[in-house]
Amino acid sequence: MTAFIAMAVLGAFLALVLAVASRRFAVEVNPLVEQINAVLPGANCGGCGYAGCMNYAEAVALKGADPTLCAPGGVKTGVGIAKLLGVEASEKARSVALCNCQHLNVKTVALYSGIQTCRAASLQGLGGGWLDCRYGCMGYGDCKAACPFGAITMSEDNRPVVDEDKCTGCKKCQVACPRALMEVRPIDKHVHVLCHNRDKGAIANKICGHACISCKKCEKECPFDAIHVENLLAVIDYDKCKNCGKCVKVCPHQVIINLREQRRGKKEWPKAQNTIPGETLTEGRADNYAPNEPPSQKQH
Amino acid sequence: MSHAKPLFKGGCHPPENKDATKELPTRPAAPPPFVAVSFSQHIGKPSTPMVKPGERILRGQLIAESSGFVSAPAHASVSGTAKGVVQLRHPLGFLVDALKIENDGLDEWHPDAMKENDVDALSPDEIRTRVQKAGIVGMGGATFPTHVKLAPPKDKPMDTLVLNGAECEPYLTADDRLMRERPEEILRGAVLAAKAVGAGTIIVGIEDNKPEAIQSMRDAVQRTGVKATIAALPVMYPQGAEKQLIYATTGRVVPSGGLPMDVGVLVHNVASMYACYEACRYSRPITERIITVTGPGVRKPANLWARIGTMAQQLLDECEFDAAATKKLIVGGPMMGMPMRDLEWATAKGGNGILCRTDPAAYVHDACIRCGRCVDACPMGLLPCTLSNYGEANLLAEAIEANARDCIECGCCSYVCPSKRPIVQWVRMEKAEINRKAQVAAAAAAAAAPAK
Amino acid sequence: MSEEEKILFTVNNSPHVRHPDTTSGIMFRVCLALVPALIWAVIVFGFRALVPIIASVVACVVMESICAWWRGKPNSIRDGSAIVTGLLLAAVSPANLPWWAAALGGVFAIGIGKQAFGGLGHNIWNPALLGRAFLQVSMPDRMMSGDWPHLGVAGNWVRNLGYDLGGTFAQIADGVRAAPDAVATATSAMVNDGGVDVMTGATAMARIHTPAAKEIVDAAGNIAYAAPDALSPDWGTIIRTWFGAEGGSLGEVSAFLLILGGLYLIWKKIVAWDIPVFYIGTVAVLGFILPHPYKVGDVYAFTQWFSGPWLLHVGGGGLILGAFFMATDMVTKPLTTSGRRIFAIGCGCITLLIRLFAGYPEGVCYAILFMNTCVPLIDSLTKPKVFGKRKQAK
Repeated sequence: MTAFIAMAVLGAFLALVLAVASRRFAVEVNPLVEQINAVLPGANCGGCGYAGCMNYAEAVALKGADPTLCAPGGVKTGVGIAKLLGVEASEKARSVALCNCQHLNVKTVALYSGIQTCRAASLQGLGGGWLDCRYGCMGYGDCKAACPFGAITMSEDNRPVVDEDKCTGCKKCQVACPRALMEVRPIDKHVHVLCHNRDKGAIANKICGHACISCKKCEKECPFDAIHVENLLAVIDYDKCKNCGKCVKVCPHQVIINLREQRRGKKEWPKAQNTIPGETLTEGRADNYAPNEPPSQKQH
Repeated sequence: MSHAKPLFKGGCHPPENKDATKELPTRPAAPPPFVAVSFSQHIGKPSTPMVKPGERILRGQLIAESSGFVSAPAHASVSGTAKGVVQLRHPLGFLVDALKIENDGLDEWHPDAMKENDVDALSPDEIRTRVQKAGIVGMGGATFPTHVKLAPPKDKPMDTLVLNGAECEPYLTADDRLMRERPEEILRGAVLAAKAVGAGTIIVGIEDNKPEAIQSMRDAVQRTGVKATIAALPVMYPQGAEKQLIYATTGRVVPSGGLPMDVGVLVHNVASMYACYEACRYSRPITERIITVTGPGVRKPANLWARIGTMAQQLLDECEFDAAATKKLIVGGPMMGMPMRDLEWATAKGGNGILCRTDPAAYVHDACIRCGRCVDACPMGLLPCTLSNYGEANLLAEAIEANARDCIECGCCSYVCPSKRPIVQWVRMEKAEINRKAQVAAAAAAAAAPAK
Repeated sequence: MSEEEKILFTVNNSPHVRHPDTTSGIMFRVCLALVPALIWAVIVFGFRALVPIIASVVACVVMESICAWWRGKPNSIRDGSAIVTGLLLAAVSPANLPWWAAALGGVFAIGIGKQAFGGLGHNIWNPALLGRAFLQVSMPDRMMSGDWPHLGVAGNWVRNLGYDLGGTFAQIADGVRAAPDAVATATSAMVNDGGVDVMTGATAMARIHTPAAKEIVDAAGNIAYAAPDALSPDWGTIIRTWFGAEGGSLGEVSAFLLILGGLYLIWKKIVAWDIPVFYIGTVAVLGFILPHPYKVGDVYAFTQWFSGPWLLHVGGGGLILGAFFMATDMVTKPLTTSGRRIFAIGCGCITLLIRLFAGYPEGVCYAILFMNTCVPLIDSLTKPKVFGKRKQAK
């Protein structure tokens, strides 16, 4: 009986202490921060440039950060935050990622073994592993691993395919790709240069059938002065581009494509024709054999 | 006369495999029909070409100028007609420009490269100028311009010159043969280099699996009266690594992140010293070097005096290259050499061996079993297994805490690892990411500073 | 582009040579080192000893396959570590452990002890010992190695030989004379025994665990207490323990063969010599120095210092197995040489502490598990010095 009373008294006393402390030492939180945080998607992807959704909410509420930075939240979040702040919301088309490499007809030049990631294969001295072009997509899937929304899958020809419904434009794939091939562009822009090759035209031509050879036909054709060949590669200025598609028609290597039909679901996306050669060495046990004894390895 | 100091901690013993070429005297390679002399045979900016197609070129003629302090000129290695600029593959994977010279077979030297000089009368500045004009670079593989190394800042005085004759890489015997055949020139070159920096002591470090080379150098010391110590070092890879060599020969420890000049030491490869002597005595630039062509993929391995710019196909054909059996073609040795993806490359000042392996060393790696062999093998006292786990978890920049920057990429850890983990590759990725982050931070700091 | 059959070179990161040892090769050699000891255990205990061995190995391998499939990774049984865990788990189990208990132990050892942490290389605790601890806690009566099951024919031969040998060893002069008689006696015992002898009783290790005091009744009827004889074992007990005639778990009966296996692993550089030497050395030294407790009624008394039965400590209780095979498990030991020595000494101290003062007669299992827990701490304290850095790396 004494034990019961003692525990009850102790419990009551501690409860009192906690109640007083929670009022006396309460931290002032601006309620706006909580409200904005509730509107944000909560993925903590860092696409806005802040350390997670709560951090961005604090920045918007207390430090006047740009309220339209949340790409995953999209239009809904932008409108929600604008309402909370009491300002007009601006409608911006969302951005999606696209791999800027088609690499059709690129030669397989070596058998690469070792760490099977793009970043590892692109180390100096390894030259991209199996790929002849040192600007092109290697296909090991660093972008797919980096995407927090599962929007990227690797096609059977080892190119990243972006599911534009799931993609939020957070740019994590762009950072992960060692050759910065994943570019995030507004979804209402359909014309893209699918190449990053900055080798001289003759060399680029030998390497890949769809490489930009800096012939400048696109630059001459564009009526809006939106595409220029800078540093041996055609680059589109998306502020000026109007999706007319004239450059697509004149490009001799079909480097520039117009994705309007693909996005409507009427045409197939561009396909590559190379695959990673030989036995792709996957994670698992070490395939060991006696030195000086050649292993069995398929070769192209 | 040797006084080998305590051996460094760590290291490993890859099989030496030098027997195929150890006893083969060097011989000149067959004259190549053309050479492609690269403008980027050194660390630093590529040199600027100054020759037009169609011009007649003589051996030793300057064909590309230095483009800065940390740069080196390039010279023709044969006499003939300049054909124009072609693209070659550099061992690091990218394409570099080179001048193609068609060999007329006359081997006519340029008059500027035929002058004899009195080396004893040269002042340190004159030595440096001749070395710079001759385009001498580190010929152990690093290809750092030698004249830069011979001009240390005033606050870093040097008292010791260490010659790297260790040649710890398996298969390679180029330096071994050079020390056996031209020891006096090496020593005289060392004297000149020591004079250029004001060093009073010369030590030659040679691994004791080369007893003939050690004896040859010792005899040369007797004959020439040069004050040099020949240190016979116990065999252990990587004895030839700069920091370990300095520790073994002088007992000094190069601080982390520092250079040998921080402890008053200068290290040069024996082939670089030979080239320095040629440059000072005859004003000759580097036009040829010893290359060991070896491995199970060549039927007739050899130590060849190859002209700079000889295409790899030419040298391999001379040694009866077995293309079907060769699975990997390495420039350099098997521990740190660079694999080439085809034969579209030419010899340069730095490459000291071509290794044709029939074993591609392609493995699927297992998890780290924490056996600790890599920790025992690392000559820099790192924890390579930890670095590999950082790499596998993609925590590349965080590896700075595990001292990734101190790694010398010698390959001992990967060699001993029973799980065949590519530890060196992970460390390279970590170093690249650490540097990138440092660059981004520096750029951000520079952008923020003027605003203040 | 032309599609000729061009020979492609392999391009990968240096180094381009590797040491011939492989992970699966190492695991295979460990299995090889254990086989003689397990064969001896089968001889001593009869074919029923194969039951826990096979059940444990099969359970470990199957569990590893299931976990690999569940995690979506390639099947990792090819690296052989599951087989090693299975054999080691069997080695710390008694011979009469039912097959389902051994299998349960194997499932726990691999599923929780290894795969839950991330597979090979990521576990903190030795999986075999974790399995044993699990079995010990959940079914302590089945795991007691204090009782040994009936010895087989050969086992009886060994036991009798051990008794006889033990008797003669103490008398060196007589021993030379008596040895042929001892062998003859043992051989006749083997030939005449035919059937098996059902003997139960405590092992020598169990007998030295806080035994009751010896009563000495003098002529006047007064009772005085002294340290029991078990704490000063005669040579017979010691030799029987080392030869396995005192029973115990499968790994306790083959001290010599385990040492042989351990030396083989040291020779092949799979196991570093310092862990077994420091572990066994610590146990031997402390086992000799420390006073051992015994009970006088309800009160504890202690024997003298520097009189402990150290040979028994070393040969019995699975110490040899633990020192050569369990404490040296690569994944769960410290990375550096000095770290390993600290680890081994710690194991030795705790083993003796448990044996002397705690509730189990057998301290190896928990001592090693405890030191496994301390390994990250030991690792951070014994980091090697980075070349060129003044202070030890943080």
